[in-house]
Amino acid sequence: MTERQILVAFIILLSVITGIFFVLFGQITVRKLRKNPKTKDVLGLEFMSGWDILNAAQALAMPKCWSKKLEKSPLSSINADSTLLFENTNKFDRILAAIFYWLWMFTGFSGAILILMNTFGFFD
Amino acid sequence: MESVTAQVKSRRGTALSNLDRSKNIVRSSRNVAKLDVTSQAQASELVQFTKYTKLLGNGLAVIDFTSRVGNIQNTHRTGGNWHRQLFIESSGFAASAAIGTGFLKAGGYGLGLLMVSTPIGWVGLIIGGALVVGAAAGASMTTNYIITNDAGGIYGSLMNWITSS
Repeated sequence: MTERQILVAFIILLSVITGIFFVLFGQITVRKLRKNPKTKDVLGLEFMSGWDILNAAQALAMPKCWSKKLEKSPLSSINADSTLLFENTNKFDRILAAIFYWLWMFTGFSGAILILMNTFGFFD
Repeated sequence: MESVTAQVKSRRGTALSNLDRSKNIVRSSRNVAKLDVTSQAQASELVQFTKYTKLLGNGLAVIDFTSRVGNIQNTHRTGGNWHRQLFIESSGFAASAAIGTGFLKAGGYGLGLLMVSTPIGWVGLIIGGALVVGAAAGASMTTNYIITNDAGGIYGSLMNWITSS
């Protein structure tokens, strides 16, 4: 395999694992939050089906002060409300959210690096 | 209140004596990042807008998925190795979805921070939003291009490794 193929195989593997965690987190945690009358309206804006899973993961996985900063903005309603979500989830949910969210961001970051390296001709 | 506002000669009155005046002062405050949703009509327009974006997002996913399934079917019909094509298309879909949404979410966070720290208004928000969506779409498509190029080779190596061990 070429160097680029190794990196691509790594990214494919990462995205498949991210996908599995996406479904797990959606089915275990977000399903519960959608049914809970306290949290069902604070999951943020849904750009497409399942986007609230990403919002919830971000609110639970990010350090609290980062989310707080965002919630000061007038557009806070597009993001999930981290305070309410923290009150209505247990430790397992948060760990699941953290694994999923950071794995997902890491995949995105690796993809950006792949694109940059490819654009600047690292693999030629 | 009368004695406090007695010296004020302004015809418009003060925030205390004139409710309209106070509303105007709040509305035009210059040091707050303002993005005012002032009326019911604007609020419902925003909700409408989010409905469109949801429709558009789902629609794009359906189009993308259909074309991928079509590719696999074509490979099968022309007697090609459709297992290989299935591997290529599904890994391309998984990776470009993960990377595209990652870009969107990170960009959205950045835009949110920008709104808190600087007084950008509607126009800045729309331009920023368009830039983020553009970057996400570009990243997603480039990833898909690179991955569909390389996935065939990876599939070959994987099959070799499985059959040889």
